[in-house]
Amino acid sequence: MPQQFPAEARLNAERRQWLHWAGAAVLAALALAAPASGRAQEADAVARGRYLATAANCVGCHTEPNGAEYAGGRALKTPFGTFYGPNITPHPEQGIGSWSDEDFLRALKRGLSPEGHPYYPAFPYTSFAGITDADALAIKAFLFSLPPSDRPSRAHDLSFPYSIRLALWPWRWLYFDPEPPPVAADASAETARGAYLVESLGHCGECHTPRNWLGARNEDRKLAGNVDGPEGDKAPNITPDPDTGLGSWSREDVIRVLETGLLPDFDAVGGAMGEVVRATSKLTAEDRAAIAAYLATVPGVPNPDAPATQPEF
Amino acid sequence: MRFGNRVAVAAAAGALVIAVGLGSGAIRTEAAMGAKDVIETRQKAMKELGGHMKAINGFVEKGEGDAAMVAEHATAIAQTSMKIPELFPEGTSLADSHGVKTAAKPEIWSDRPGFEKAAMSLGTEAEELAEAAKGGDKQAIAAAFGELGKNGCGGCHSNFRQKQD
Ligand code: HEC
Ligand code: HEC
Ligand code: HEC
Repeated sequence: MPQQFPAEARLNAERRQWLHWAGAAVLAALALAAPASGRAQEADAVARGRYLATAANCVGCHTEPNGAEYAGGRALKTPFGTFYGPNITPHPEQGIGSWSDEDFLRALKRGLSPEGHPYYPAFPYTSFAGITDADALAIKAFLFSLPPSDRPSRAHDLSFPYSIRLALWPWRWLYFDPEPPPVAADASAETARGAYLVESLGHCGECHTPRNWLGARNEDRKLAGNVDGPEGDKAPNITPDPDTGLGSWSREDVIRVLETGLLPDFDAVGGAMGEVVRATSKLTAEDRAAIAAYLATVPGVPNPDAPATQPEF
Repeated sequence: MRFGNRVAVAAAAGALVIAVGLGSGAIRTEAAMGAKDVIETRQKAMKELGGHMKAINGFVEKGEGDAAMVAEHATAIAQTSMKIPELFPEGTSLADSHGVKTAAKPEIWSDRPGFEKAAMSLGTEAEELAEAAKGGDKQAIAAAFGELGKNGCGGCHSNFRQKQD
């Protein structure tokens, strides 16, 4: 699978990994020091995982308002019924505490439970499929560092025939492509990082790309706006189309909305995007700039039905 | 009952029906007019909040003006925040605004404490920005400005506003 990480960062990651192993090998010889190194490596993965989970806003769908973080219960209303984000704390029965690394990768990147049943795409694994294994496992390390909650996950409340999980198999056959969209060969490291943040971690297309009647994203109109966004909101066109997209926004305008939620007319975004901004505002300035850089490179698609806010001149 | 009386009663009842009909019609237009005024007033107030944010952003991003100017705009936002709830009387939500265009979600009334808390939180965030501006540290000002946009404005818009077009 093509990794979306900039090659340099990947090399660095591999080198760091190697150093960890080499270091661990040396230290393993000194039996006393080995556990300390293991702990440091673990702490490193937890911190990285926390950042990645923020970029992916896992907390949003897996936390009830005012509830314990990641303990589930958040209602997600869709045209197919109401989903409830499950408990993903490391509780062995009510959460995912008994899951192996393989179980976790299969769930996050392929949308299959440890028992092999398919998840509903309300869990945006169709985007998460592009997350690197190393990053996914860092997210797992972070989740496993949280206090376990014994809150049981709530059953979804779906209308027939969506309530039948088996119906998801044909859907997956038609629409699930586990390969992340390829990055242009001449893309800069910044743009490639932005692609990873937008397409895979940040799953912006889950709301901003329109869907067909079976709920599959129409990638020919990628990020071109969706009149049937979450909770009845319109998710506007965020392609660089000059009249109905972000074509007339400056790079600062894009970065500002991700950092402060303020639009070029100094209105503030609301709806589901307000929550997304809580996540993007915690990213590094470099990552916000990378998102802006990548958005400027996707094909511009006009969409007068879900236009972006146009700056006042 | 004599015939004349019967006519009188029927006429009275008819008059009553007409009066009620007219009355409710009048009430309806009055409500629509009232709703229109209040909705336009609050949308204007919101745009003015945007104007204050724009001025502060000029300082944060481009160094326009000075920290004292930031403190003034932040204080103005804090003062407006206290008046927000009264600009949202019953009968002016997007579900019952008598045809006047508004983005005010019914949750403003079904979760009144939450809405008032969101208005208060705008005040708190704006006061924090005013404090930071008095301190004069640019980084602290930029950070407080970001929080004000995201939590102060965005916090309420996330739950209580649904853009219409
Ligand atoms: C847009 C909402 C949303 C986001 C964002 C989201 N999830 Fe979920 N997740 C769900 C829903 C809904 C389900 C249940 C799917 C089902 O039952 O078919 C789920 C299921 C899961 C499961 C399976 C739990 C089980 O008990 O079988 C795991 C693990 C999980 N999510 C982890 C994550 C992680 C890690 C992230 C961030 C990288 C994340 N989720 C982000 C909505 C979301
Ligand atoms: C959960 C759904 C959801 C996700 C995920 C999401 N957005 Fe949004 N976005 C929205 C909605 C809804 C709006 C309109 C908000 C409003 O009404 O103020 C919006 C608005 C925006 C706007 C402002 C457009 C305008 O002109 O008003 C930008 C820019 C944006 N999103 C970028 C992004 C990026 C980049 C990502 C990924 C990091 C993302 N969004 C992820 C739902 C979403
Ligand atoms: C307590 C809730 C609340 C807070 C806080 C809040 N708003 Fe609003 N805002 C709303 C609601 C509700 C609407 C929709 C009003 C309507 O259409 O009737 C709105 C609408 C707007 C509009 C569009 C007005 C129009 O012309 O239709 C702008 C611009 C705006 N807000 C800016 C801001 C800014 C900037 C801030 C922060 C400084 C802010 N708002 C804080 C609730 C809030």
